[in-house]
Amino acid sequence: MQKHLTSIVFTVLIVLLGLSAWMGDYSDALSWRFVAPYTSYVDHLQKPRITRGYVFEEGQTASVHAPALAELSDGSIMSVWYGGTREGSADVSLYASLLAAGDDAWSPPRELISRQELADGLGMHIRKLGNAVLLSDGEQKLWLFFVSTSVGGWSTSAINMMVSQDDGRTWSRPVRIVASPFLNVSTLVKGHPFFYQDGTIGLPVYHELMGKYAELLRVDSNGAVLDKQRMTHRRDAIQPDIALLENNRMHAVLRNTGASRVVLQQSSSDGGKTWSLLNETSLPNPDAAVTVASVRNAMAMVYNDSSDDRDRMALALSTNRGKSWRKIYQLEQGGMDEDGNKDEFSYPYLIRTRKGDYHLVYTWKRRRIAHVSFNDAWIGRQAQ
Amino acid sequence: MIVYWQTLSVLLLLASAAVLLVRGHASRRLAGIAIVLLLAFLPLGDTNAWLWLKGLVGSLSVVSAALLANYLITSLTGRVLVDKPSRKALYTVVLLAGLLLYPATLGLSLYDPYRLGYGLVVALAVLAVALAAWFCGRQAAAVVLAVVVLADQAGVSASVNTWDYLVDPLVWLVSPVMLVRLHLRA
Repeated sequence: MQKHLTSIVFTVLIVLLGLSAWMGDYSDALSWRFVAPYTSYVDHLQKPRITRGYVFEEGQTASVHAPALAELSDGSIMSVWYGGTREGSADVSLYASLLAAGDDAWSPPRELISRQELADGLGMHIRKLGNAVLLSDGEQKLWLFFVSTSVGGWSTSAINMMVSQDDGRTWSRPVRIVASPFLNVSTLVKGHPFFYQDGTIGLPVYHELMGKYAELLRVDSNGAVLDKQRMTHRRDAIQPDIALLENNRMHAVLRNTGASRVVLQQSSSDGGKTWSLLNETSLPNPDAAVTVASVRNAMAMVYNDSSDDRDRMALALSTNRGKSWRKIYQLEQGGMDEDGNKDEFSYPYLIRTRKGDYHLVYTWKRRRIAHVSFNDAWIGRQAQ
Repeated sequence: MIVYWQTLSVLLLLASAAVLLVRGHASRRLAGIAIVLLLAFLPLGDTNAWLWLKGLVGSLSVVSAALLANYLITSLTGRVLVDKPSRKALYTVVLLAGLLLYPATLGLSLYDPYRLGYGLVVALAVLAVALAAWFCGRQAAAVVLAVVVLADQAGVSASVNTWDYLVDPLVWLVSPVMLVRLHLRA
């Protein structure tokens, strides 16, 4: 009798748990419509403009790498990057600098978070910090996603998140994002995060432990991963960057770690829910990061226009949804440094602001963060 | 709650390692646990073994925690909370779950079953297995599996994916060894 009663109680408990799981299931509630990219009035009398410079002339660290950008609520631009003695060293921290709206000069770099501060915040050992990306809601709330490793190399990275309520002046305690079941390792960021209309964040990421592939994470504002979509079905594509286009379409460009040495791309017509197979562009790729942004009726990509090295960098345009790309501007030519090594220009990150300006940052010889700003009229002139 | 679960995970791992190494009376084993925990907090540069392990492991699954807790309690008190048939059932479940999950996660397959854990499918499957385990006489396993879903609903870990509450790489890696041992000792 008691055994039967216990069985009934347990069965009821299971049913209640099932109902609770069903009521708490949000997976069908996720919207796949993203917040459309900024549209801005285009001044047809706009004069072509391009400015070139650096976020800083002399940095606080010997080596810098992997910059990212976001436009803040007041129209200023924030750049983040990691810097230290060298990539992967224990003294690498994340740094940030601000370009106020209307200004020409960036603020002096300030340290955002160090390896030890991250370790203290998470309560765990941190070996090194790496790539970071920013996302602004345009109303002073800012998210910083960045990678760190506790054991091993970059392929064992995990993603961390900090949130600012005041456009990056102060930041929350870091939290760890759980994106993988295998010790939560090997998920890294590089491409632009963006918002979906339900308030969740689309975060392009990639995995590179054993097999390499790109994914799109759905993250809530507190850092919980609610869903993920594997984008690629090959083992050589990483570091997806996504351009948001009209009618809920997206276009991704990816770094190619394989033998074909060309930029890879794919598209989605349903907000990232499903993706086309990867196809190869005609643009070379020396196993290096690429970036893409929507441009009025086109897309602009910044890439290393060499299949061997990162000593050259160029801007290309596609006016036919990625069917073809054409180089329209040479950003950097190849050269040698004083030690006889080829120069490195890498990890470009391109954004389009609410006013329709473009800002590009990239690693310049691992010593500085280069900054290039241009407008639609300048792109139009280059494309002629 | 997340911090507590992470702390419990590392505590269970270190205590189990200590008990595995120290044989004999419960008091010796308790002393071994105390020594291991003290050693875990000794500085190693700017870190220590406790923080290193936390960085490596993060949070254990509920099944891992239950099996480790059972091992500790059995070793220290002689009392068995998760009986042998239930342990066999749990190790079988995690072995199969890991085989489905981890090769795909590591990019060895194009399909990603981990994604199913964000929805209802995995939770309902675990509950169904729990119910089956109960009526097959594996009550302890059934309770552990029910707690998997309960913990997922309660959000005791940073993950909202049911897979992470069911299985982790550590328990998956030892599951074939443990199943062989349990069968040999039948």
